[in-house]
Amino acid sequence: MTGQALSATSLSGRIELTCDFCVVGSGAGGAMAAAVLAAAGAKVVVLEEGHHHTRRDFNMQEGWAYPALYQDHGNRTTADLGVLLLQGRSVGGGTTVNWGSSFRIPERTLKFWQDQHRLPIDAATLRPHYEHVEQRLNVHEGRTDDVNRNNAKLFEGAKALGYEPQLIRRSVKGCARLGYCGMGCPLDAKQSSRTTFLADASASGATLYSDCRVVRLQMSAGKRVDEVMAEAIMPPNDNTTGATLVVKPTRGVIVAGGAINSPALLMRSQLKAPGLGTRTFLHPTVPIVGLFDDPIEGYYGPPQSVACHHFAERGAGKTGYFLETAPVHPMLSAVAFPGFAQDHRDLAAQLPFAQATIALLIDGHGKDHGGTVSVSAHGRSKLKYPIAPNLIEAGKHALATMTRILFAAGAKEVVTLHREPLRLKSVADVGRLQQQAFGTQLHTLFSAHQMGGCGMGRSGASATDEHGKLTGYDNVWVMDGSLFPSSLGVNPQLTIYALVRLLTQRLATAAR
Amino acid sequence: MLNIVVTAPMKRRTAFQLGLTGGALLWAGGLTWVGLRATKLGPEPRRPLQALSRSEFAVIVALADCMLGPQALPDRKWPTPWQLQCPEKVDAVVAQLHPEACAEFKQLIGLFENGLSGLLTTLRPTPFSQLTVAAQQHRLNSWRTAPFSLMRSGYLALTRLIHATYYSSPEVYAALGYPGPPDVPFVPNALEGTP
Repeated sequence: MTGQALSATSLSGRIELTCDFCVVGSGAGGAMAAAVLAAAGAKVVVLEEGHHHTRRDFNMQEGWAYPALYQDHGNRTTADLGVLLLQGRSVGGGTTVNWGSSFRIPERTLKFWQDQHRLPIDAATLRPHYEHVEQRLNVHEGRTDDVNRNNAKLFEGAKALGYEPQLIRRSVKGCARLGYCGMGCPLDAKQSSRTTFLADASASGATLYSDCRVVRLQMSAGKRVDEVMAEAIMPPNDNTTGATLVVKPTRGVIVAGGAINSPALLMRSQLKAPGLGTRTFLHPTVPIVGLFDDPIEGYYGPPQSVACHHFAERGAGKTGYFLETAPVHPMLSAVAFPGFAQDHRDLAAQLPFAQATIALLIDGHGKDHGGTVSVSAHGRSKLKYPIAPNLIEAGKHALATMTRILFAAGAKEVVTLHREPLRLKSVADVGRLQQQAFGTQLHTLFSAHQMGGCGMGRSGASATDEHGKLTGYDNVWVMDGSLFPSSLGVNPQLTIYALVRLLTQRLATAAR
Repeated sequence: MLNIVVTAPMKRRTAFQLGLTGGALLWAGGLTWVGLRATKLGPEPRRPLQALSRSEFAVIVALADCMLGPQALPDRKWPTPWQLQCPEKVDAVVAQLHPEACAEFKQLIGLFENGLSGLLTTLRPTPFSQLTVAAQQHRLNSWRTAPFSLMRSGYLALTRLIHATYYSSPEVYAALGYPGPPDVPFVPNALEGTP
């Protein structure tokens, strides 16, 4: 039995549906949960706020892709606009626009979760789930012919300095190395949740409604959610059509809207759990630009194929970070470059020669507590994310490391993205970085990895327990990256899939 | 189209939390948006506006010109933001925002244009749209380095939106040296079973 994939815009009036499980969101977590539960025989309805785009829509133009495929039409930021949040929003969620980088959870992070958050999950428990996901997503060892010049510079520089760069495993099949993963793959070579686990869920009978915004979860007496209230919205402006969808799940609700959205939905619904919305982590991402004599053409080729985890553990009291690259497309670069008029144009005009290395700060493992999600009276989510002193120290350290790497790779100049950019001419200039103020609104910061906000823990002091169940409620589970009690220290898609597979298999077994 | 959400910092109540001067500035901006000298309207939009008023559109036209226009950047190989219809594209993006964010963005434009905010930042009580390009750049720069987070957020919202609409336009690719997206090859293995 194959389930239907419908746009809620085709509905009119008030529609009521009954199912076993209602899954909110269709990214890595939602798609996996739907696939597991549907395969176990449950009647599953998936609600996705974004539109159902397919490969034929993906035109590799930033002017189309960011409004169509990202949260807030590409405008999501932290409350003070200090961190740009790249977070997917369409059928497939973040997996439609991620860059395919696939890592398992680092041992140190899993130990941190076990020790600090009392999570009884170990590597052996997760291993079969990782293996299943890797097989389904065709995750394979990194290949040198996947390395474009943008990534090669990181590899060369890090290797020259003894920083042990590695090739990244990617979730692609038949990749033509176009370089536009972040705008949706026009070949479906990238194995997104839309083409894999959501397709599996559909094959097992799950029904998908896209263009369907969940407004709130409706509780009756007790601790059960009885109804999921949703409204149809019309792309591209998200105006409501007037149609409403009321899903009545008999077994439970799976909240999988991703970090920020999942806690925001629970808050909008007046559900309360310990720490809900707090400890939201971003892997705050610090970019830097190396300028080379020869063209880099960082807009072509797999966006991420090289990583360096040499500085992931920096010793007691220090926050670690890892290094990767970002694609150098015109709009994304222009938004990252500081200043305006001539200063900005001078950098933009060197786009083909620009290499972009990024440092992702591993937040939530030290004294920083991440950000806090709240919801306005009109239901809009907001994330306040202070850059804690340990992150400032790590950010400055990372800038110095990246500068050394880029000069070791042959850069003629390194340009920082401080509010007052530094143009460094040699490695002897590294000392200038320590003098430059760093932090939110003082340096361009991105996040492509949003995590936490519904953190798991065993103590009862956490928003969710070790099964992903919302503390204090009988039939609400969270199944996405918002479960993470800290940031991961690597790109998160694989761990979201694997963790949710583990948890939903347990749920499916228990629910029989 | 990155990053134009003007969130809580643009609310008056939040502004007061940021500091008395910042809050007073925002109050003054809101109250005197039409109370002082009028906005220089400039050219008519080439399609019906979806979110911005005629005056707000004019401020965006002036802002885009001071950042990327021929007087700011005389190199003729680059198209002008007006040629790329950046102001109309800004209007389209603002129309897609959450209604609360849309209202806050419009409020931001009013504050930015307001002569009183200019008096406080650059000692010139002239609406932004009526300044010379050099003075507009000075005004914009004063927001970039302002002591108030509120104004720095406003600067980021405005400039990122203008840059996003400009540099996402294919007409600018040649000047950037960017050849644009490649042709999509046929790779049969990639397409198995996909819609």
